[in-house]
Amino acid sequence: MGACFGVSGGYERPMWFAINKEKPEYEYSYDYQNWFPSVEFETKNTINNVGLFEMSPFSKFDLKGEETFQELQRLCTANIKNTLGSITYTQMLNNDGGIEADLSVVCIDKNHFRIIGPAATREHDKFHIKKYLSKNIIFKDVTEDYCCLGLFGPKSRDLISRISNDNYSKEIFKFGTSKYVEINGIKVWAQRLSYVGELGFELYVEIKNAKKLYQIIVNEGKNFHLSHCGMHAMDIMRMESGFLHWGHDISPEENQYEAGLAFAISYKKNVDFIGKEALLKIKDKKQSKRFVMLSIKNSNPGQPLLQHFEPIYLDNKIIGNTTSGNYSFNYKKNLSYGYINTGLSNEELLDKNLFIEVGKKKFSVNIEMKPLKDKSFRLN
Amino acid sequence: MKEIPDNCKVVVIGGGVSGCSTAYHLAKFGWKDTILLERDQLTSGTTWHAAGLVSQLGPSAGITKIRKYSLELYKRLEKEIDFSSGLKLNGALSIATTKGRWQELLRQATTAQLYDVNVEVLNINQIKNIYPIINDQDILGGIYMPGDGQADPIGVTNLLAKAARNEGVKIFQNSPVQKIISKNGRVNGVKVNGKIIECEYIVLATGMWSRQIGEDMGVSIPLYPAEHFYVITEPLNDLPKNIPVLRDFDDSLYLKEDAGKMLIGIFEGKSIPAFNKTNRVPEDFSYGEFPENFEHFEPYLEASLKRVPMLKKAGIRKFFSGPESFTPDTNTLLGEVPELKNLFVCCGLNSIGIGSGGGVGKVTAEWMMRGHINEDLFIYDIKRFQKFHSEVNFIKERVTETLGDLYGMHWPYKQPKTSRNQKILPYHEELKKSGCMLWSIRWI
Ligand SMILES: Cc1cc2nc3c(=O)[nH]c(=O)nc-3n(C[C@H](O)[C@H](O)[C@H](O)COP(=O)(O)OP(=O)(O)OC[C@H]3O[C@@H](n4cnc5c(N)ncnc54)[C@H](O)[C@@H]3O)c2cc1C
Repeated sequence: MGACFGVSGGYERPMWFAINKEKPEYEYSYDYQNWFPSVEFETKNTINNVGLFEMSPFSKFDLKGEETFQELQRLCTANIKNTLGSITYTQMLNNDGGIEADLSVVCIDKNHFRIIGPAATREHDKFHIKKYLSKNIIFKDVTEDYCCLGLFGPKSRDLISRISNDNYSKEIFKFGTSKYVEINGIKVWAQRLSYVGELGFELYVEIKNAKKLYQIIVNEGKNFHLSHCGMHAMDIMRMESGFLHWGHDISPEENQYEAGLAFAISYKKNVDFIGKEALLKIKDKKQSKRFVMLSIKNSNPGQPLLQHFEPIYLDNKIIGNTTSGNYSFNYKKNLSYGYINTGLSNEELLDKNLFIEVGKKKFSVNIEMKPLKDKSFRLN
Repeated sequence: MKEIPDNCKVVVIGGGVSGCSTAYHLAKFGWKDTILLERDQLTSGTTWHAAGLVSQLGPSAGITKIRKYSLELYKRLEKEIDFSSGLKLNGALSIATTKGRWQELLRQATTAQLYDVNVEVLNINQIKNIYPIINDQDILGGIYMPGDGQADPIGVTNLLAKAARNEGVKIFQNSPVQKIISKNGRVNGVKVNGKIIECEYIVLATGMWSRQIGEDMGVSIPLYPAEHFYVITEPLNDLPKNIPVLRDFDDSLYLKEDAGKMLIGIFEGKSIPAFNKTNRVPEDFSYGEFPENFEHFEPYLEASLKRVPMLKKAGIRKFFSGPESFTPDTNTLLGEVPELKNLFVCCGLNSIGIGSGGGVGKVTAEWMMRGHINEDLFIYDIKRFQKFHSEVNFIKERVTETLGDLYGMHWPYKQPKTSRNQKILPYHEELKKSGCMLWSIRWI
């Protein structure tokens, strides 16, 4: 047993953890995956208890200087929050309104922000950001200075409260905020959010203290049914939560209206952010292509194994293609993201015959009107 | 002879298929003040010896668009300029002899519908019909792309060069760039034959030389040449002329009818990095070949005789081994590099340079003129990599795997085997040892 590792941004990263006495090795297949039982356990345990997710490879850029906030407002489509500890989810666009990056921006201190993004797009995102930053901003890639451990699940608060004296209550430590805390003498930057749609905390710790923090969490975790969780579990749960992935679900080819990300555009901030002019031109037009969530009727894991670039049909006509796929054990659904191009709304499509074609076989699908997971955890 | 100018807008370095295509598209789209500098003769790097297969379907929408466009471009330019690129489109047949491969081909045939690439799924009888000399014993099925085929790599490159000149590009051969000059973090010019040319943009279309050119100026370009092999048989009287290109992935083979002879090429599982002693491509490596390595080729030759038994009668006329550059993930390197403003790359073609040349040149030109690209092409963007990817320690071992990956299985969630453990977490050993369930470790 042990972790089965994959590579992400150059890091060795656990993909899944063996259960029982199996070998943590992939047996590759286009059908059922040998790691399904592990990931079923990992995802279920996360929603019932608490899971420990390894997130160190996510890219982390520190921006400092008096004009940092103004320049971020120009780079980002969302209205960046300029209060200590607040976190803003945003995209960055090119001049044509194409999505260049999908990130979180955290206000760490006065005139000090941290941008956190996916591991695989580290150089790409950095390039885009630096292209538009003035010389007055001090930019530093701190990805490799910190580790990040995610504690996600309903018992995450109880667990962390046992190893730290800081206040983690819902009144004081609200969703979408962050602060410095101390865990057994180690200084940790804690962010209350999660890419898996659960109550939870991302814990950023200097590399030199990371192993100790890991051990403290694992030791105490035994009392809270903590499980290790890998990348597959995270990817499944982000899809259950309706979160998109740049490089799969979004790219410069899409705009935020097509992707259902208009909520991350702020016109009211009254800043000429990059791409705004292009967005204003399409803002009130009907988009021909739009993002949808689909699930196979009579879903079974690996039947079929959903990936990406599979055609989506309305009756006999191809109306789009998939961009991500996963089996959700928590909701017992074989889930797909994709884009379609019809004049019809989701309501109008409800009683229509929709299919996804995989390996020359068509599978009947339902439209999911909203993400499988609700957002109530944010209030707890 | 033309004078090399003192300044221009763009210098394209390298006169292989990639460079000629980029120069053509830049001028065609309006940047007429473009020059191309080739160290020796056009095609003298890798391009001259390619087998010349052209196929349209790639692993993603963006890549398929690039390949489809390439073929359409060659057809169009052949007419416009009245110059042959040696296109012969007898179609291409891919066969599967394992369950996983058959599933993979069926998935590809499904995806192809999204991009308007014609792909037919064939049973064994249909395979025999279009490829009568095949041994079908272990075949599970196949897919057929009627629009694919082959081109003459030198013909394609000269066609593009001609088209580029017609659009106003000046091409200079015997003009090795000795130095790339930068100023304040951006491109400023090149030094060639002792002379300085000032320019605003540079495109590195220098194939397998690109990694070391980058290294010399602190720019990370992750590619490395591997030895790439094919043999050509003696002429065979009864070899049908109209057969398609055959790809037998599970045996790591492709076969192409070539003027009455058969060309047998391989994408073996473990390839041999080239220029092993110095880790550098010699500056004067032109029309270069490596010594025969029959031992390495033999198992694949045997497999090809099994697949097409009539080849047993034929002797081998030519054993060929030449370098081609491969990247860490068998995808091309395009886009602006992060280290130097206005330096673009168009290299690392992973053995599909002829089939993709037209399209990668177009994308490069668009990317430069717009400052970004509005397509889902991150899979080709050089910025998907980090600095360590271009270091010899990493890339040389990795290309032993990526060459074969082209014909290997593209399993979902597949992880690389070579050059692992680049970055290790502080608690790596703990993760390695522990299972999923942390609270009951002792009892499992
Ligand atoms: C055995 C074999 C079979 C192949 N079969 C196929 C096939 O069937 N289909 C297919 O699509 N592809 C095939 N390929 C791959 C194809 O040949 C390459 O992908 C393609 O030729 C790459 O073109 P390029 O322009 O990028 O590189 P190159 O052709 O190598 O061009 C780079 C040029 O840059 C020049 N240069 C380098 N340094 C400098 C400098 N300092 N100053 C000026 N100029 C410089 C070089 O002289 C060279 O001409 C095959 C390759 C091999 C080896």
